[in-house]
Amino acid sequence: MSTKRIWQGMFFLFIVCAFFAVGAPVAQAQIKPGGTIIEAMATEPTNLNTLKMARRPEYTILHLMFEPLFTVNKKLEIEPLLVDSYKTSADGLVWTFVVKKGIKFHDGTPLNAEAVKFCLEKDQGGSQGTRISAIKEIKVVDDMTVQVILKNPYPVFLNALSNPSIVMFSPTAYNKAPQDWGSKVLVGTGPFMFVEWKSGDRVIMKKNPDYHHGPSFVKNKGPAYVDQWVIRFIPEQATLIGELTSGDVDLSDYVTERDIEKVKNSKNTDLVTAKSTSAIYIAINCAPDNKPFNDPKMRSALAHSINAGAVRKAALSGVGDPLYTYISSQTMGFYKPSVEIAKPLVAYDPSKAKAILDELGWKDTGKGYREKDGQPLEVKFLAFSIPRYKRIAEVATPMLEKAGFKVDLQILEAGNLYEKTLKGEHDLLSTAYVGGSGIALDDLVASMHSSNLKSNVQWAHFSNPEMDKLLDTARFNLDPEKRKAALDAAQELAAREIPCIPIANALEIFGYKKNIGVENYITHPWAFDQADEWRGLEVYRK
Amino acid sequence: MLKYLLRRLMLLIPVLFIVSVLISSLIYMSPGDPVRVMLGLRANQEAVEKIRSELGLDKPIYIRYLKWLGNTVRGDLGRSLQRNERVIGMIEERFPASLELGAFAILVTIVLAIPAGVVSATRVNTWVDNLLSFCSLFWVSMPGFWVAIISLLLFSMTLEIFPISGRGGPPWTLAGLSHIILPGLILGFRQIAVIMRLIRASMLEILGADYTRTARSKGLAERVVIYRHALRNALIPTVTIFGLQIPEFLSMSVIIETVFAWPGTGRLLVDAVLKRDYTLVQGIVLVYALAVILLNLVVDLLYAYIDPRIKRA
Repeated sequence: MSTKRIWQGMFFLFIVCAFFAVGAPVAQAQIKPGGTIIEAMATEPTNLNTLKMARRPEYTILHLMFEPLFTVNKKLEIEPLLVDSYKTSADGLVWTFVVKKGIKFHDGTPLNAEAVKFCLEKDQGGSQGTRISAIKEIKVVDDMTVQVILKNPYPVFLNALSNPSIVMFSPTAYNKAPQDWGSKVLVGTGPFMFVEWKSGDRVIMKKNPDYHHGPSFVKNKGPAYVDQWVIRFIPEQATLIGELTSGDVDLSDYVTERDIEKVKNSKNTDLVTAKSTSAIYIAINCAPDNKPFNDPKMRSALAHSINAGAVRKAALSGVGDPLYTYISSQTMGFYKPSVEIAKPLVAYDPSKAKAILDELGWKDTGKGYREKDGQPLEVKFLAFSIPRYKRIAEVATPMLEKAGFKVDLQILEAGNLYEKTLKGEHDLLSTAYVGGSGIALDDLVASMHSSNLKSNVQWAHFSNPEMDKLLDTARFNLDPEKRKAALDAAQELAAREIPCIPIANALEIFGYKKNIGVENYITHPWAFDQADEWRGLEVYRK
Repeated sequence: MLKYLLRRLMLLIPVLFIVSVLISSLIYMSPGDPVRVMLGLRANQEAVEKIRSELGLDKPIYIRYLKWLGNTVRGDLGRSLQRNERVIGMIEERFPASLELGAFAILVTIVLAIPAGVVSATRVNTWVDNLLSFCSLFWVSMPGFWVAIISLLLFSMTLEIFPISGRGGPPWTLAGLSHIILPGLILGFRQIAVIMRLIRASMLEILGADYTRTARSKGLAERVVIYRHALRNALIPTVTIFGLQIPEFLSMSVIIETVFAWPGTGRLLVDAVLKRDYTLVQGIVLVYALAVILLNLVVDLLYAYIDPRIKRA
């Protein structure tokens, strides 16, 4: 090798070293370790019991302290989080998991096979137990190996184990004070440790200094950059936005469509939006005895009567992408061609709506609504009292009336509304599937499988043997090709059946102070809903 | 006097019993299932039935009520259905914040309403009286929620004089005081307006009465006439109205606590109602009822202090 070549090589090496030597500290210098992040939430959780996780407020807080065995990466694939390796038997009945070594709960209790067995057994009896109801038995093979035996083959079992409601928690802490679990005692494996829940005010968490097992796709594997994470409860939206733009709140994803300009225009704050796994729609009660809405043609007439774009503009300030089917396009396993089937069936077209209603025998009698055999075309329209859903119902009602429906609109708070929709005392319901699993299959099973008719999220009261069969194949068949084909077909069927009037694919709006770094966190496609646990690791003070 | 006090305290028992029957009937009969609210949308019937049985919600309403009553008589208000915490502990945690806010508002009311009423009455139909009348009319007419939001926007977000929300700590600390001033003033102002108008009207009547003329003709200083003779008499109807205003204070505090994210019992009660947390609602309403009755008792005792004739009667 010539001297020139050696010098060239050394020069190149010097440049590379210089790049990393200079480049690395620049990136790191921005991160100011320590400090406190204050996050604002408009709703205080009902409880923080890991076994009773049901709504977003609970998830958002508990995600910082508790972890499931698996997680979903940025490519929307499931990957191990607390597990080193796993295998399944040929018949799909036995799943063997080897727990990652060296992980401890916040109280020092080691995460081992016994702990996994304890938690899964407890989780089975929890509010989300149906997700893992396929489990027949759990066996501890050795200290770090656990075997889960299923009642029937369930190849998508990892979907359930990656759900943030099926989490690992310290058996020692739980057994010591089961009465205080979820209010005064919370011990998990996550990047933050529970300090205190000041009722009506805040939840305080501190950094878990021993956390080093962040998943492959996060930049910071742990511990968290900040020392403390505080969640403040600010029920009044104007106050929450005030605290975010000029007060001591650092970030919040409780920014509504109407606050966007305020947060954007503030000198202290910025915001990002991302497509959510939530679908906003007006669910239609399709129960076989709910005439005339048990007929897909009538459901199509309803959909053709409503200008979803205008509803988005008036009720959601134009925020949110068009939605055509029952589930968000952001969900794992979403089948795009189903959109093409749904589009002509749900597109705004008042003349088509009129033609369908005429065809079905509902005649315009000049009374302001249509009639058939002397019976008015009545629609019992319920809406959650949450402003977003209330506004959607208020905007959609005159559109329905214009098409000839006689609308009885009722705005109800959750408790009352749950009872009425469970009994099927509604024709339409302004709502959204928020806080689902983010997985198309799970969301469809929850909202369209007849086995879930007695749960609130089956507000369409949808019961169709063909749909049940497809969803069962998509869940239980051992052949991945057949599972995928069945899931696609189920989405096609859902598109044809029109269980809802699609309004918007929700956008999550995340506001934050300019003096905190969020760029690593916001890259996850589910950053603001299903994958919000990683904000604890990735957000830092500048 | 002691006999009177004992009789009034004995009356507490039937009143609280009636309140508990009323509130229990209302909350039990209102639509909505606490277990469905607790377990969320995905919960299936099996899980709901299991929890319902664990919480004793599968029992008839009268059995649940009698059980609750029996425990309450023994000083145990039970456990929150939603949070599984002791109701008494939850109230203990939140009540000081409400008490602090209420006490501050009452203090503000007394300190501002009485002098304003006196000034208004003694300078009747002057610009001072007109200004005070306009202000009081404004505060009475404006919805509390709107006033709270506008004050927040103006004083906290734009002028940055006060913190936006939350409870900063005990009110004797600077942080605590700065946090309580705005919500406390807004809670108090509505009452100030009412009390001020009342004092003004009573004072005007009393200042024209024969005994006031007699007092003046005796050569007493105007200050003595106003404060010792007129004001003292004007305070009697004022104290009555003040007593009647206490429930409004409590209901208004729910709004103020919500707008200012103040961690008091008002918000706890609203949350409990929305989540159908029966035991928590029963507990808080009982405490509220007790507070209203006791405060009214204090008001009645104040009559005797203000007007010795009542004591003699």
